Formats: sequence, structure tokens, C-alpha cells
Amino acid sequence: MTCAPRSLYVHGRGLACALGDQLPDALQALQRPPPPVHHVDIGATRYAYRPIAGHPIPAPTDATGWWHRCAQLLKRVVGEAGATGHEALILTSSSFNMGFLERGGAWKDDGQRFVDDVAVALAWSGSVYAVNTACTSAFNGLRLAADLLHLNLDDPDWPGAVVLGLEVTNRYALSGFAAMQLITPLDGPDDGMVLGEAIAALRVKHTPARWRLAGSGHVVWGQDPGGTTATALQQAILQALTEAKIPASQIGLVRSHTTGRPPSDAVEQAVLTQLLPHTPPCIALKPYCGHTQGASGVAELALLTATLELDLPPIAAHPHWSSARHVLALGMGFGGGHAALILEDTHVQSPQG
Amino acid sequence: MSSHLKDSPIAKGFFASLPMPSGVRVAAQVEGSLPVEWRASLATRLGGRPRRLGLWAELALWGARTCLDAAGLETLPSGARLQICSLSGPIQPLHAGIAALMQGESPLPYAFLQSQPAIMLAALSVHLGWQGDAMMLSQRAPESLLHIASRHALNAGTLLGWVDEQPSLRSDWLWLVSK
Repeated sequence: MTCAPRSLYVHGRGLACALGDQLPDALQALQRPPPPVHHVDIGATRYAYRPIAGHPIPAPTDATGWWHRCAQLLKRVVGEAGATGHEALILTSSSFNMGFLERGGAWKDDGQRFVDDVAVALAWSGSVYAVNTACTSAFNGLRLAADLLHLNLDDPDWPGAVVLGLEVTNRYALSGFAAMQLITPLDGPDDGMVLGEAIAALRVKHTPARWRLAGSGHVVWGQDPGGTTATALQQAILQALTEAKIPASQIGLVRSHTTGRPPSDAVEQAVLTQLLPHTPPCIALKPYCGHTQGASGVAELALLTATLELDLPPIAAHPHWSSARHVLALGMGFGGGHAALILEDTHVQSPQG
Repeated sequence: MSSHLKDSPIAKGFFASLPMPSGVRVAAQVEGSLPVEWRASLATRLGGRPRRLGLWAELALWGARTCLDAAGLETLPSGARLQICSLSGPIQPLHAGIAALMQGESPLPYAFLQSQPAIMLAALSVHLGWQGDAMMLSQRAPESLLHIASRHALNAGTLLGWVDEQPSLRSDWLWLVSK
């Protein structure tokens, strides 16, 4: 295998989510029906929620407990991904330390202090970045890692980057989503979107490995900051295909954004039908781990790539599910962000052989 | 929780004082103290005060709009990239929202949206007449942010901003283009 210049490869993964607090447990859980949802009360109303398995949510006034739990899980996940601490650390999140603040934790002089605290907790020596583009944050974190690779092309010893998705329990996001009617009460008329908690890591660098980040696209369309816009999603997918230098017909599997909100999900499916008329199998992972917002891109790619390597399709997988050379992953978020990412499985032959 | 990172020069200085990466140049810039009447001048420029934006997003919009005007551009060109850094983020609506939550109140929809940094990207998209790649990316070293922005500037330009509500209002912008 030759080293393709200017490419990033996945060298390690770590995951703690509703399916388990480490990746092997999550993969096992994916073979079973989705676990029962937990609930969180906001005022007199009860909402479904998917917290990280095996780690009880700290009490509403326990800021110290929130941080200790967060730091413990961060160390576990980053360790599982095989990080050394010398890589660039790219923290992607929508809520950062809101769960700490709403429990009475002290506000710092700026928001970046929490990111600094994460770096200290992980004894990190590499440079540290934070990306917040809502639910597309993790996609943009991976795109930032590609930027950093390009800026370090002359350095054969570049240690790579760790994209660390972090969405830790907080009632602020739940109450905000509820206020916007993006989630529905637990006893409501439909299942709808369920928020979830995750800490996930992808360790990427320039030396070849099985999974290559082949292309990406990101388009902000501000006219509808809370929804999915077909034109913007089309543009993002076409950008990713162009960067990956493949026709749409070579996409063999799709990991859709699918949140459980009928209007946005319908737009996404319509775009996929239009751009991918060969209808590759499509998998949605949010029914298993909830919508983990700024961490969802990393969490679901960690889960998906591990699943494909082990040939362990999720129980709800498409009947024609199989390995694929090129996998398309999508993400949309507040602020009108539409992201597309193409991963290449270098162990799978392309359709042309 | 403690910090091991020192404050960066950006806390005291500005992007344009940094050495420019090769291949790009600053085609327009907005830096330094904000004019007292910045909010009024933005409303005049847009033909009305932007609706449902918090202070932080309005601050970003003022700086971005002013920078494009300095470059003689009515809209942000297609294919250009937006890259924005903030250490504070929309701290005021977030503080108010979390304080309300701690009192047992839920945020109102627009109050919640104002506390979400990505909503600023949507506002810039609308008011700069542009759809494209935009990133909220924070780091304490402005040199690193400038290098990342410059890489994209080689294509169709990058509008690079640093916007903070605290400790004082800041909205510094560079319009970077290929030489």
C-alpha cells in the first residue's frame, strides 16, 4: 500500500455512549434492540434521554461530581483511542461544560478555560483547539484535522490529531430543544428525537491505515437555521464527492443523520434518493445512542467503522448491508450547517475491482 | 479545575500584527476599538436593526459587514470561507439561560438560540448574502488560526474574525486573499 499524500487515516477509536462505556461493549449492544431510554424531568415534563451506560448522572447540584465523571470518561476514551497526548487535540462539542455550570460550578473568565481544563486533565502536550458548529462540530473537527495535516506536510513526524467529541449530560440543552419543540415529552404522540450523551475520539494521522478520510464538504445555509435545507445538503455531498474524486455511484453505504424529526429526515432522504439513485444501504445510529449533538459525528463514525471491520451489522441494519469501499456520513446542525464526509475502506475492493 | 495555558498575545494584540503566511495578503481589515455608535451604524447599513440576534452575533455581524465594506464587497464571494474565533462566545445569553434553569425556568426558544454560537454563522450567511463553509474554531494562539485561515484563503478568500463579549467588546476581522 502506498502512502497517499495529503490524506488522513483513522488510527484509533474510543467511545463511551448509551450502548456502553467502551467500544467493544457498544458493539455488542448494537447486536440487540436499542436499550430502554432513561428520562429527565424538565419542570413537570418528562423527556427521554440516553446517558452513557454504567455511569449514573450526578445530582443536579453536584458540579464536582459532574467534572470528575467527565474527566474519568475522557481519560478512558482517549486511552482507548491510543492517544499519546502529543497530537493536536480538537475538542468538538455543543454544550462543553454546561452541565457543570448548571450544577453551580464556577464560571471562568472565558469559555476556553474548560477546554484548557480538559487538556490538563488529559496531561496533553499538543496544541488544543475547540470547534463548535452545533451538531456538525465533529465533522468540522475532522476537517480541521485535515487542515492541520496540510500545514504539517513537511513534517514526517507529525503526530496527528485526536478529534474528541464531548457531549456530557446537561439539562440546558434538553430544555432548549424542548422549548424549540425539537424533542417531545416522553408520553407524547411520537418517539421523535431523543438526545444522548457521548464522549468519543478518533485518532487520525497521515500514515496509511484501513480507513481513509477521502473527502468532505460543509455548507452553512442561514435562511433556515434550525432545519435541513435540500440545496445545502446537496452542495455538501457534491463537495465531498469532488474532493474524494469518486462518482456518487461508488457510495456503497450511507450513515444518515436521521434524528427522528420527520421534516428534516424527509428532506435528507429525498436528497439521498436524488443524488444516490442506486440506493445504497443506509444506517441510522441515533436510535441506539441518541442524538449526541456535537459529538455525534465522531461517536457514530467510531461505532460504524468498528462495526464494518468486525462485520457485525447492527440488528436494524438494511437487509443488503455489506462492507463498502466508500461510506458517506451526513450531519446537520443549528445555524444551518450541513456536513458530508466520505470514508474509504482501503481493505475493500472498489466496484471496478 | 485549573489552567496550564497562558493568555495569548491576541488578548492584547491583533491578527494584523502577526507575520502573514506566504501566498496571502490582507485585502481589508477591521481592528481596534469599536466605535461608540457601532450598533446604530450596523442598523443603518442593513436598513434596520437585525432581528432576534444577541449582542455577540450582532457584534460579529458589524465587524464582518464593515470588513467587507472596506474591501468594496457587497456580499461575501461564493467559495469564500468564514472562520471565527471567540473565547467568550455568547456568554450573556448563556449565563442568563443557565441562571433561569437553576431557578426552575426553561429558556424561551429565541433566548436558547442566542446562546448557541452556530446561530451567528446563520446570521452572517443571511446578511452577507452567502452560503458556504463556515467554522467556529477557537484557540488561544492567533498564529495558528491565521495559518489555517490562510490555507483556505488561497482558494476564494477567507473572512477571519475574532469576536468576544468579554472582557471587553471585540470584533476584529481580516479579509484574506491570495497574493
